[in-house]
Order: sequence, then C-alpha cells, then structure tokens
Amino acid sequence: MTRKCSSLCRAEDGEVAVEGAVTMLALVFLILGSVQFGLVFWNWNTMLLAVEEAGRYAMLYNPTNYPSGPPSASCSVATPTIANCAVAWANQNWGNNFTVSCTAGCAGTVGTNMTFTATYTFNFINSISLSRGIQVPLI
Amino acid sequence: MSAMKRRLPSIISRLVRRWDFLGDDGSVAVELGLLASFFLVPLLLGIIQYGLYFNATQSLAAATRVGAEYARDGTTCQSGIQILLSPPVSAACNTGIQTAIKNSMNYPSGALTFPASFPLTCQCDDATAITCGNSCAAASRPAPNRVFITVSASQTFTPFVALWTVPMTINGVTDIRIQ
Repeated sequence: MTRKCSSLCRAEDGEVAVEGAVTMLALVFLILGSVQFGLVFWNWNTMLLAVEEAGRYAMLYNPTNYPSGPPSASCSVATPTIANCAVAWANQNWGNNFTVSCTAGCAGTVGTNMTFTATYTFNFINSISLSRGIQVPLI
Repeated sequence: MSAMKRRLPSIISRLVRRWDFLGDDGSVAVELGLLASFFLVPLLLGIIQYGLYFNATQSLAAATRVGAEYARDGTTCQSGIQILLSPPVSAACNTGIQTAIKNSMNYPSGALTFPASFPLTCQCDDATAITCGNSCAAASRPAPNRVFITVSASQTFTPFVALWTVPMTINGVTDIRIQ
C-alpha cells in the first residue's frame, strides 16, 4: 500500500493538464474582463458622440433661427421643445446601451447654456454608472 | 601574489557553500518583487497614463467641435464672416468661440490656450483657393465663396509618470465650412 502511494505521489502524469486548467481559468477571466472593458470603452466613446450630437442639434435648431421650435421633420416627440427634440435625436441615433438627457438649461433660452448628459450603467462585481456631458451655448 | 591566488578558490568555495546553506527559499517572492517593481507597476501606470491622455485628447477634440459649430451657427460669427473682413473673425466671434469651447467640457480658467485669432481659408465653388475678401464672381470663377474656419485649442497635459512618448501638449483642431 505504502509502495503504491509513494509511486502515485511521485508520478507526474497529467501535471501539464492540471496546470493548464488552472492557468486557463485565470486566462478566461482575463479575457472576459478585457471584453467587458472593451464594451465599456466603446460606450464611453459613443456617449461622447451622442451628447455631441444632441448639442449640435440644439445649436443648429437654435431659438433665434427657429423661434417656433425645431422643424417637425427632424422631431416627432409629443412636446417638441428644443431640449426634448435634441435628446430624442441623440437617443434615436446612438442610445442603444445608454440614455441621453438634458440636465441643465433645458428651458432653451437664448444666451444660456444647455447641458446634455449620457449615462451608462454596467455590472462589474457591483453596478457602475458612467456619465459624459457636454454644454453648448444657445444662440 | 601567488599566495593570494592559492587562497582565492577557497574563499569563493566558502562563499558558495554559505549561499548553498541559505538555500533558495523566497526566490519566487524576490523575483515577483523585482518583476512587479520594474515591469508590472510601470506597465500599469503607463496604461492608465495613456488612457487619461487619450481621454483628454478626445474631450478637447469634442470641445473644438462645439466651438466650430458655434462659428457656423452663431449670428455673432456669421455677421462678421459674410462680408469677409480682414482680420476675418471679429473679436466678438473669437471670444464667443473660445467661451463655447471652455464651457463645453467645463475646463477651468486658464486650462486652454487659443490662437490670437481663428484663421479663415476661402475657396471658390470649384474648390480652388482664393484669398478671403476677394469675390469669386469678380474673378470670373464659380461663385459663391466657400469660407472655412480652423478652430483650435491647446491644453497642457501633466503626466504623473514621465514617459517621453506622451506629448506634454494636447492640440484639438476642427475645420468647418461656415459659408
């Protein structure tokens, strides 16, 4: 019995497979983490484009040139204020994984600034929220 | 000298024996310590550093795009540009663009530097260059004039690790057609 155990204990067959399995576990977690961060950075960049798009909309269809609100062809929301239309435009084009909203100066008064913020929530151990904002002058 | 030569091997062998006696316990920890301090931690800091740098670059580019949009849509700028003044951009337009850039990402006061004036370039309708202020129609070339503005801003980037590959100044530039 003792002889059998000692020969088993000394055997190194399958050592590479065991080590491979342990290493693979770490590697799989590393790859999953990389993919997760890739998704987060993708959204981080897209959020900037989305808030820029909303800001550009608000500057283009500004209250000076469009006193009765943005043209109906570009906006189909129930209450077509400049803020609502800009937000709807950005969400329609970019907001698959996150939402764009107007967070300051949403009344749309000429000479003030309007702020748009995109918020993205993802799960990584805990729930984490990222947000990006842009402030544009209303002409 | 020859006595010294004779004694040297015995000193070395004694030293080697001493090290053998110490063994190689903890060598993995020492190797990990060296690897972490000279390779892994600088690598991590470098990754963070580049992340911050690219983020700042993107933000500045976005901010100059807001400034460019202001130049295109703002009545302050358009009223000055339509008549092709020289210097082409009015002081009010210049200030308006700068304020729009600074406010867009809430840059602190003094964080950005701007050129004295945002330059204009002009073309006729066949995309050939013409001096801004000259009329394409008067020069018997296809009208109307196309006017482009180059909106730019610079920001000093302070790295927390001195990496010579990270530029210390970030430049954001946007060209936009305004007429």
